[in-house]
Amino acid sequence: MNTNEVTVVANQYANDASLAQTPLHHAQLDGNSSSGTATQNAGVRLTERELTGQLVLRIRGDLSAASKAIEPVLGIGLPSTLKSTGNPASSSGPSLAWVSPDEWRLLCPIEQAFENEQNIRNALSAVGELSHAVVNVSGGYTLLDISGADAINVLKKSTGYDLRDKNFPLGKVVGTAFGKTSVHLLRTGEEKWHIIARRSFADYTWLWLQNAAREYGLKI
Amino acid sequence: MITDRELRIQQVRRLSTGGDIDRAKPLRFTYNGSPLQGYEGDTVASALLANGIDIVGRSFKYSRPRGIMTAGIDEPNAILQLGKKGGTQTPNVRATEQPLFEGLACSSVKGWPSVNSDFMGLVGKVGGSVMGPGFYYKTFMFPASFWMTYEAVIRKAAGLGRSPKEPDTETYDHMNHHTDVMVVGAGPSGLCAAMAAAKTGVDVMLVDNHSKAGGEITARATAQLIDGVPATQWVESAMAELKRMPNVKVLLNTLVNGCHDHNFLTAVELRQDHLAPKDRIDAVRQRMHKVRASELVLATGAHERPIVFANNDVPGCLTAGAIVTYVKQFAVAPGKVLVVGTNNDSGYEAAMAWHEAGLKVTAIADSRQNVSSDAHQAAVDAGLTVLTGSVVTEATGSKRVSGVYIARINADGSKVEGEPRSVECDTVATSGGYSPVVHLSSHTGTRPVWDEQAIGFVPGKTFEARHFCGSVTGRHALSECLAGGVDAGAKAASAFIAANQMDAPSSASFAVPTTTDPKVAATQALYLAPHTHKPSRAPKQFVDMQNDVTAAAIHMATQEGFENIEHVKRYTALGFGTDQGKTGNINGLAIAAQQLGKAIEETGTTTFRPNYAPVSFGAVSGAHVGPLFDPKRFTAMQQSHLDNGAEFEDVGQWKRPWYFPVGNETMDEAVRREGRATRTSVGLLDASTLGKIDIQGPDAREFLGRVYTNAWAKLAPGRCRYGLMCGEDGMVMDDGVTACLSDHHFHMTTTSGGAATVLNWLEIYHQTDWPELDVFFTSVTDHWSTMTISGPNSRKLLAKLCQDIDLSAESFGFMDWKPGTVAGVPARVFRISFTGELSFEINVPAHYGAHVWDCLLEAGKEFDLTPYGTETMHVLRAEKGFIIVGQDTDGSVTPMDLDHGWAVNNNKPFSFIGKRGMAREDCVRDNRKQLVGLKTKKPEVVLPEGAQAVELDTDPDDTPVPMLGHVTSSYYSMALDRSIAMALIKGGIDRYGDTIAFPLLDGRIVHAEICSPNFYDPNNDAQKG
Amino acid sequence: MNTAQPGWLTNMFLIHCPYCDEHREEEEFHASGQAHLPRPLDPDGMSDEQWGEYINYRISARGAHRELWHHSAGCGKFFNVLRDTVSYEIYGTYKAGEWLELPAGVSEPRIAKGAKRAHEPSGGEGA
Repeated sequence: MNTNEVTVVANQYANDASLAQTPLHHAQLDGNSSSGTATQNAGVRLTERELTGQLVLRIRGDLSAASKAIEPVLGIGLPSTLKSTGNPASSSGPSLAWVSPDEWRLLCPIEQAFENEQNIRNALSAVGELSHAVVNVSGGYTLLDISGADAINVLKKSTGYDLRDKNFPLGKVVGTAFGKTSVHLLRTGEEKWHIIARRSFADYTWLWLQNAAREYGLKI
Repeated sequence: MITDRELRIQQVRRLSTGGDIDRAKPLRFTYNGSPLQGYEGDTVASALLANGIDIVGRSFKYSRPRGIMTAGIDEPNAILQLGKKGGTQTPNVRATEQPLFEGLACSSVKGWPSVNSDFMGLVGKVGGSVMGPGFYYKTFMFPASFWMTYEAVIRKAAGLGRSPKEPDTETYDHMNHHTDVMVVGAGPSGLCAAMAAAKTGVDVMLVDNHSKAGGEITARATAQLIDGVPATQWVESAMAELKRMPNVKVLLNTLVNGCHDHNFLTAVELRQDHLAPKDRIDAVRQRMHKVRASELVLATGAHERPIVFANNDVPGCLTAGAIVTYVKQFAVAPGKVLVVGTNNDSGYEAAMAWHEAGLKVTAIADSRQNVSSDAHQAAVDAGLTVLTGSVVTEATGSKRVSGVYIARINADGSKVEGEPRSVECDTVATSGGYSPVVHLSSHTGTRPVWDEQAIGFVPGKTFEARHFCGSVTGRHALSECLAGGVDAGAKAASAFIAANQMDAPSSASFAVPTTTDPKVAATQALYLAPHTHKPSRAPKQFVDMQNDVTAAAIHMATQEGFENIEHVKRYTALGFGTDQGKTGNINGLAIAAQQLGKAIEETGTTTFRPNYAPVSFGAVSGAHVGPLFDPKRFTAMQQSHLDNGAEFEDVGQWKRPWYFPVGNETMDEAVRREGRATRTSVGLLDASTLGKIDIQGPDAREFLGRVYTNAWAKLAPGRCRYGLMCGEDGMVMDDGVTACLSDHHFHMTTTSGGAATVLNWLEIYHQTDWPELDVFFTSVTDHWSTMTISGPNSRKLLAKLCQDIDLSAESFGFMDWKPGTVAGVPARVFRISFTGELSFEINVPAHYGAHVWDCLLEAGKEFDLTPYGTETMHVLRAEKGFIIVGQDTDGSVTPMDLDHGWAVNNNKPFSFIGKRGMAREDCVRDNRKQLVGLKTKKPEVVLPEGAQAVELDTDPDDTPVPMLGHVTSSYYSMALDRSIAMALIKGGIDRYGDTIAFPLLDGRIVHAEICSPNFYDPNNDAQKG
Repeated sequence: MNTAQPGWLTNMFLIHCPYCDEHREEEEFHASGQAHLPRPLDPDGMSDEQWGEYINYRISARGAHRELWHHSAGCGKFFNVLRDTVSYEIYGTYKAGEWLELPAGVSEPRIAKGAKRAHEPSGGEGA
């Protein structure tokens, strides 16, 4: 590892949670406010996760060695194509999602992002013949949870991806087109999905979902 | 107020019993303003016919009165305007497809000023061939100006509906589906296919455009038994079973309109069109389903085609199947006295339905010489007059059929034998056989194939996984439809199972339902009933009602040399419009083929394209309207911008503050204030939209050297450098500042609009040409909020919020960057400048962007910190001669043209992108357009951007006038108190001091002196301060 | 992850991404033109005409064609698509740097005069 890198890998988290704003903090996603009809029996529930630590892991080379190196750090290894490891449904534990043959996304509590970043770098640097990079992108994405009996219908309006159980089981993650933007979709439950959306598209994504969910009733 | 009872009396053609309508639920509606009544279960067409409405439109060219001709989607005439006013109107609704609802208002659209007495009708009658075939082409050709005169009248007279000008008040959306087997058409064969496939356990989607399944069985209330029960009852139980199966999805009221590549289907579901507006809930009116099917079963059925005869467009002429449907399904007899003309057994069904309703059938003219079939026998047994070897040659009457001529014909149906005799009737039903609905199967370019036995085109072969069953295969017998359906469904399922290596199903397969077909006689290939006169002399024999194409017109087209069927189509307009050849296509092809002395399979058919039937713009647009038309991207500081009253500018999809007007300030005033504040104290810009790419890896430096024109080998950590990116052609593509974070780690910035392009650019080279380079690119555009403080007080301002960076000029020099803490938040601060002033660009993770921005505004109060937008940014950078890629460049400008040779290093070992391109002969020639500054001779005159330059001594009469170039950027500079401009001028860099002229559109000629574009602070002292 | 701008109606292909190893809807992809156009190793040694051919001349294929596509809304990888420009049948997709033989009975496209023939892969030299 080059010594110059050390100066750059700075903690990007200010230890004052009140200073941070998620992109949809204004969209009344935190309380019990409602929109649309029949919210009593809302078919769709939508929440924006609190600020989540997100790291991009790029690795080329011996992936099983890389996975073994990461496991002691995170408690989870690298997921294979279109899979995730860890428990993405929980906000406390880390999870890893496959993005590309040489890219993964780590989701973890924001407070742990820096420690994880350092430890992963160190662990990967110890593996010979491995190309790697770690980038903190916590500010660049937001995490939405969509759930409910009609969540599947909202998703079917939004993406052309085949969402049927046999093609999209629990724990699977896909990057796909979503309305006129693109997101990553991760299935976290029988009727529950994560949507990882780019920060600058968060308002559009929110408007889109609100519109698509209108006929089913939306609880936020 | 008219009572229901009074309205009921107007339903003169409603039969007293029967029909699948609810007489207990009368529905009021209006047609052309007149109050009428129908029943629940009616279509608009059946209700109009019940009320004795004969004329529903005027024809396109000849303006002849037209009546309802069919009972389905193939209707060419009854095209109505639905809705009373404003955005609730729907144009081009087929009356035969629109369910009646309480309060429905509809009106005819063809015919002006009214459908009953039409001005154009006179023209058509008197002029005869005012608009003959090829009318448009001939009119366009000679003389062109004539069209202008005709157009106003013709457009008004021929219009097919009025597009409402008001916004649509209803909502639409799209929904995606994936299915293992998709079955299009829920007639007997489609139902069998769905059932057979579903029994194997695969996912099945069954779609039909009607509100009830059953296809022809439902439309004709078929009495034939299936599995021992009446066919209609079998349909109901089959549907019930399908709906119970969890692996089956049924969509009714849904028309599959497009069958695209790789079995991608678009289908529009009418979810609320059958409801009165007051009953419509606040939900989607029409939904476009986009279905990806692994295996596709097309059970799209067939359209009955009429027989073409003289005056066959007079109201009262219908297809035989339509007569059956109106009588049986709707209990409406569209007349009193019927004559049937047929070349197959279907005509008899109409006669029997009519007869059994207690109405008079004067004759059945069957073109076949010898007929031996159950249908024929039944008619004879019922005492009906059957004339074999005969055709209806001509109808009489103008606004309603008053009778027909029937004549004996020869065996091949080519000519009349003997004298036609007059037969009394007010209604004519014809059946010319069935044309398989091959539209969907042909949408991806597959040509349908002529089937001599079916006397129609059947679907051609394609590589896609498709199966066909039912009438679309040209086999119409019910037993064949059922067996074909089971076969197609089972094959589709097993193909899917095999392709996906699934286990074969253990459950029992679906047995072919049993039925006994009546004995039928073969259909005769007869399209145009012969007349005593040839087509050019006979009364008009219409092939395509909607476009007024006659047999004579097709003859004329072939005589004029149009032999290709696609040319005949375009010359005559055959199959144009909403009709798309549903009723007229085969007849037209057959007539053309006969005239050309070819077989139909030789002439082929015209091309079928999506959509099969008209689709509303709403369904096409779906939810992608209004605020969802295009994503709007916001920075983390959006709320503050709104609070500060910003006006916004679109930069790609980004919303960027354009300027921040205070009070009633104009843009000009705001920009001058913002610029002055920045030059004299400190301004604040939201630069978050800049593209940002994190670049890591041992080969990052090498990669930068290949994609940028300048050198990167020696850029030290902690330093920044401006770079120009070119295409392989040597033309400037993007620019930006890249910071060296460490030897193996860089932070690249791009233009706001170029972010995605540049990232793709890097990836495509890395992934395809240089995979050996060890480097990773990650977009961090959204991760970093970027705010620039610029102006002489910017250091003082930053010092208030940042204690852990030594901001002194000695420690933190121009083009340096440092990590630190700003407003309690971890930050990367870059000392770079796009204004020429001392500037700091503060980058913080975007979730802190709003906090840091607010802290800057608060801390900046003592310096009168002024937020500025993109307009002021443009002025300030122009004062320094800094380029904006895409404004001062246009894809034809090299770095040398920009006088940016300092940013090009040709000594790099690798031939960087753009190097070879820049070295091309044309890129190194003299007299290329080069970027220069301009000072107008009158300092208050601001040149318009785009103004063209000429030499001072240009003689405007000596054309073409040699052009020197054009203005790319132009503003009034507060700092210099005069206008400034940047321009691309031929050989301009060597012409500093020369004066050139700009003749403007308003007649003024502005003189300007060529100069360096670095207008303000030419020694660059301020930004280094 | 990428900033794709998917269309929403005109995309009809079902494309197998060799990296995700799944068929995906066309709206997740962007077409990037003809495949197998390796950047010349010595641009500076080429004539203007040769360079012009490299940057401007492309096959206008009727029939089999090799194209570079980008899984822009998915994994972000570029890969090759071998498809028929008439029927739009996709014979197969393959990763950058690899090669896929045409199916039996299908011939390489007829090349317009002046256009370059698709390159056979040479060693580890990119796609």
